[in-house]
Amino acid sequence: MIIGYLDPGTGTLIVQAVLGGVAGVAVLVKTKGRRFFKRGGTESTPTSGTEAGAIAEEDHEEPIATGSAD
Amino acid sequence: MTDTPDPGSYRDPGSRVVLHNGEVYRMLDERALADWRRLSTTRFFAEGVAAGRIIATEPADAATSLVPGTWAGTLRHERVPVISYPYEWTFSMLRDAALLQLDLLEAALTEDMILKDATPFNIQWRGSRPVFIDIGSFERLEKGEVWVGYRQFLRQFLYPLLLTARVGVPFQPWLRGQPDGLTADQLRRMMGTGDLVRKGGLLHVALPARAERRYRDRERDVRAELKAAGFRKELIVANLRGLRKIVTRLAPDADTAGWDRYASGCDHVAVQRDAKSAFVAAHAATDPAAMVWDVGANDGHFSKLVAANAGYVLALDADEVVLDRLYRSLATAGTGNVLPLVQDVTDPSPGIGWRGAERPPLTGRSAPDLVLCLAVIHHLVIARNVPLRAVVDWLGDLRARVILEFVPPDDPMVLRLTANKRPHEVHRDYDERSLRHYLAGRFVIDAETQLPGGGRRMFALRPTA
Repeated sequence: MIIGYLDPGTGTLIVQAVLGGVAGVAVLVKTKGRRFFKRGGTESTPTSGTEAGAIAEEDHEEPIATGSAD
Repeated sequence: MTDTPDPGSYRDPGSRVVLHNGEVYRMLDERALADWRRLSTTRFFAEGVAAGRIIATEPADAATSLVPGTWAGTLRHERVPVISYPYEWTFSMLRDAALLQLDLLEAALTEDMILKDATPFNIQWRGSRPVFIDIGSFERLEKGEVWVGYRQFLRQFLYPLLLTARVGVPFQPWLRGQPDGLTADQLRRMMGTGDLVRKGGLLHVALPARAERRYRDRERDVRAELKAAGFRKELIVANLRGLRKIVTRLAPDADTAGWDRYASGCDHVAVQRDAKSAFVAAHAATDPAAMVWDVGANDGHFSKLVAANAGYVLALDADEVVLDRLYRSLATAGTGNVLPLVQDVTDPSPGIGWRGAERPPLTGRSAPDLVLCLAVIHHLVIARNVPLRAVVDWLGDLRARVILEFVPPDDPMVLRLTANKRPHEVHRDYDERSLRHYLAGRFVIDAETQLPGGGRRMFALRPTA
């Protein structure tokens, strides 16, 4: 990614959208980063349909529920 | 004063802080100057300056090239009395600084500006009142732009607070050793499962830790992707409010108390306090000091006492628990000239960061005119095994007047400190005779008095010319 004056961290940027609540998750779903939902060469998307879900699935755990920031 | 850029101001290519003739200037490039012009017309900025939450700033057209570079404009800032760093702050100080950062960011967003970073080094203190100093951090918010400083906020504000509040580990040594702050992964490894599912743990620690690991080597412009997908500032505001709720509710772990019951637990100490106060007040008032260091400030009784006749007081103590209590009492009273700093005089803040000069040692940021060294000397010599002569030399090298309380070897507090030491493990010259001998080379004794109810003795010392 493009690193500016401050490295915002790719992963943390994605989390940031999740923390915007339902609207943020909706934004995430629209990113072309959806291809990263795929894992292990499969074409399927994780059950939650969000990158947060993908992050959770990586370790074969239940997808993390994402609502508004707590 | 030479025109050297502040050694801590080099990261932002568009803005550079310079000390010139004892005043603080900030050089700005074209882009930063445009951001300043926008900032200076906003309501939140005017209100922030008026409330003392943002440093007073004005254009300084006269000096436009104090340091090499292509600069488009110059600002002059009000100076803060002493620069301090987050690894010297107490828990509540870092928490209040975090809340200021969040408040200013939310206020900026309402007028389409944003803070491009989120580090506690951008916040300083006027006594117990935090003030935001990095004007160059405000920039215009582009439509669809994310909060780039979020990760830095986590690493340097939220994670240190969680480390102390949830794990029970003081954050100060960690921030001193790693000033960029804890990583999500480091904190995740230290927090128990129960902590991770509590407020904030899941969304702000576990999730970022996993996301950072997953996307570590990916080359993606996520900022552009999120922008294209319709990211908007309301999402940042939702995040900020969530963070604010978490930060507000965090409290320091109370199990780490050290000296908090010191005065109340020792009868003779309480009895002597009035006589000691009278001696300190009399000698602090005769020649008011611009800068006082209260070494071993404890509950801040003497810091507050001398503050009435001093320009500024640093209340220094190694015990962050008592100091945090002092900070909260000062903040409640709105005291503007006593700054509590976590500082162990046997291991003071060193120079750290780039070339060891980015964050100078305490002695590079403050020089006292008056030092209070009350009921500290036995801790240095007996508990920490610093030779008595070395303590006197250290005080002498500060080139300041000193009010010293000598605690004799047969004092109950000294006996407590020696209870688990063999006689040969204690410096043998810890006595009043040796003290006088060492003082003679460095100080003139202006006054001295015996405190009631024991052998403790007060000295008012002036450095020899």
